This record gives sequence, structure tokens and C-alpha cells, in this order.
Amino acid sequence: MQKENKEIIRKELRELGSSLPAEGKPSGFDLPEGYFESLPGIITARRSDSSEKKKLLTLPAATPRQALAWAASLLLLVSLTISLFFVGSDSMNGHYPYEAAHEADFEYFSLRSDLDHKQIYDMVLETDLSAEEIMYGLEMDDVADAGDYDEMMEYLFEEASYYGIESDYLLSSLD
Amino acid sequence: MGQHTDEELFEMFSKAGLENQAFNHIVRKYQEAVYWHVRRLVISHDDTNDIVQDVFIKAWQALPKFRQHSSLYTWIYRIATNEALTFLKKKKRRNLMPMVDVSKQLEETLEADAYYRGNDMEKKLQKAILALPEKQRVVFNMRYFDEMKYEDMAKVLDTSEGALKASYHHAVKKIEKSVVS
Repeated sequence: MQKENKEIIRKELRELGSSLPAEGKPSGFDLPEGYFESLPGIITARRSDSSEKKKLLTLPAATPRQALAWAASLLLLVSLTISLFFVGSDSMNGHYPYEAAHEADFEYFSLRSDLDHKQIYDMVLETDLSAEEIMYGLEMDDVADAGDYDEMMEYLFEEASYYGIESDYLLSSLD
Repeated sequence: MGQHTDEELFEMFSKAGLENQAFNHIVRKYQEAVYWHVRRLVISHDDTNDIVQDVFIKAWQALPKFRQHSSLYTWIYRIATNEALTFLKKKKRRNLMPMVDVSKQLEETLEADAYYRGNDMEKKLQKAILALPEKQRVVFNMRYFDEMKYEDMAKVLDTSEGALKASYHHAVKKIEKSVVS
């Protein structure tokens, strides 16, 4: 990891007429003692734990058409849940009805699979990924060319991941 | 012991039986940079701690698919940036808040965080940074605090060096104005 030359940073600040210091930058952030010594161990423990869970929580295979239909159904479900909540509740107080939405998701997934609520809940926690995260390690060219297709995929992945569909599973189904 | 280069770590990772050891080296090599990058974006130590762990878990899961077209450093930085921004996006979505209110909430987090000990000047600077639009805030932190080259920033944020320079310049001007006033 090569940092920018300090002189270049300093010169840039000077040219912008800034009085911000180029050395000894003020931040004020602190952290618990020994944090960086213990972090690698915590990550190792979580890695072993998450690979065990992953083995248990894998969705059955589906065709691309089924996967897309599934994602589309989810989008519809989200919209319906939100609309119903807005129409039916006058005590919203500006908060998103997450609890209500989760209940509906669990019911939906229970009906479509052999998983119970607890397993689905674990799965939602396990696969809380955004579209960008799913793309890491893959070349964007492998996935799509057109901008609008990218956008659509991003939206689908985001929604699907929010509802606990495994990202790898969705990607492989869409090959 | 000197630090391994990314190439050495990658080679070690690709050898059967050495994956864990290689990944442990990767965590040790990048944990501090990732931590501070995320911390400046989400402010709270506890949130940062969760995000940093997630970053490395996701890096571990994706590493076998990683193609060495970009460096390990920019790749991990990219995961970290996206994780932190996703966290902020969820926060905003969860409370139906516009971004400006997220900034306000982050200011409150700054005041309340047990691991923030900034003096008046440091607080003023942090609040000025938090008042920036999200993209400018990311760019400012990467350039000013992390001292990243525009070339690397462009890879992490998937944008042009020219756009990044413009963002940084705007950000510096705004901060200057806010800190001096």
C-alpha cells in the first residue's frame, strides 16, 4: 500500500488556500486498548462460525426463470406490505414498518420452502448483502454490459438479499 | 518480521492448507487502515467494529474468486467503503431520513461515543466533515486522512481522477469555510 507523497498533499492544501495541517491531523477518535491485537482472533472465530452456518442454510436450486419470478414476487410483496402498512396505520410516526415486513417475509418463505421461521431469520441475518458486495471478486463484464441492466440487477440483488436469498445462489441461477 | 507483499500473501492463500495463515496475515496487514477508514465514515466504535469484521468475512468468502486485476489493498478498501455506505444507507432507510438528518445523527453519535475524545478544534473539524455530502466526505477522508493517491481512489470508488479531484477541492473549501467561521 503506497501512500501519496506528503509534500503533494501539503502543496495541494496550500493551493486551495486551506489552513488544515498536512501533518498531525486532528481527529480525536480513540479505541479500546488492545483492540487490534484481539481483532484477528475474533475474525477467525467468526469465519469458522459463518462457514458452518452456510452449510446449513442453502436454498434449493432453481431455473433462471424461477429465480427471476421469485425476485419479482418479492418486490411485489415488499410494495404490498409497505402500502398496506401506510394505508392501515395512522401511528406511523415516520418509521419504516420493518417488523411487519419481516413477519410477512417469514410467512412467505415458510410457505415456499421447508424452512421454519427461526431458520429463515438466521438466513436473513446471514445474507444481509448489498448488490455491490455481491459483485466483489467478480468482473463486472462477466455480469452485464448495458447500464440499465446493471441497475435492474443491482435492484434485484439488493431486494433479494434483504429478503435472505443467497447472493451466490441468485447469481448462479441467472447465468 | 517484515510484512508480506500482496503477491506473497496471494500465493500463500492459493496453496492448500495455508489459506487460514495467509488470511490472518491479510487481516493483520490491513485491519488498521480498514478500521480508520470505516470509523471516519460511521463514527461510532461499536458500529465500526461490526463493519470491520463483516468486511473481512466477506473478503474471506470472495477471495477465491478475486482476480488480481486490482491490488488487494484497493479491493479490500472497496469492500470497506461499500460496507460503510451500505450501513449508512440502511440507517437512513430504516428511519426514513434524508441524508442531512443522517449527518445530524452522526454528529450526535460523535458526541455520545465513549471512544471519542476530540478537543474543540477536532470536534469542529469532524462536524464540518459530517456536514459534507456523502461522496465528498468519502473522498475527503481518503485523500486527507488516508493520504491515498487519486489513482487508487479512482479504483476504489470506480470514478475518474478528475471527478475525485473536483470533489476533494470542493470539500476542502467547504471545510475551510466552516472551520474558520
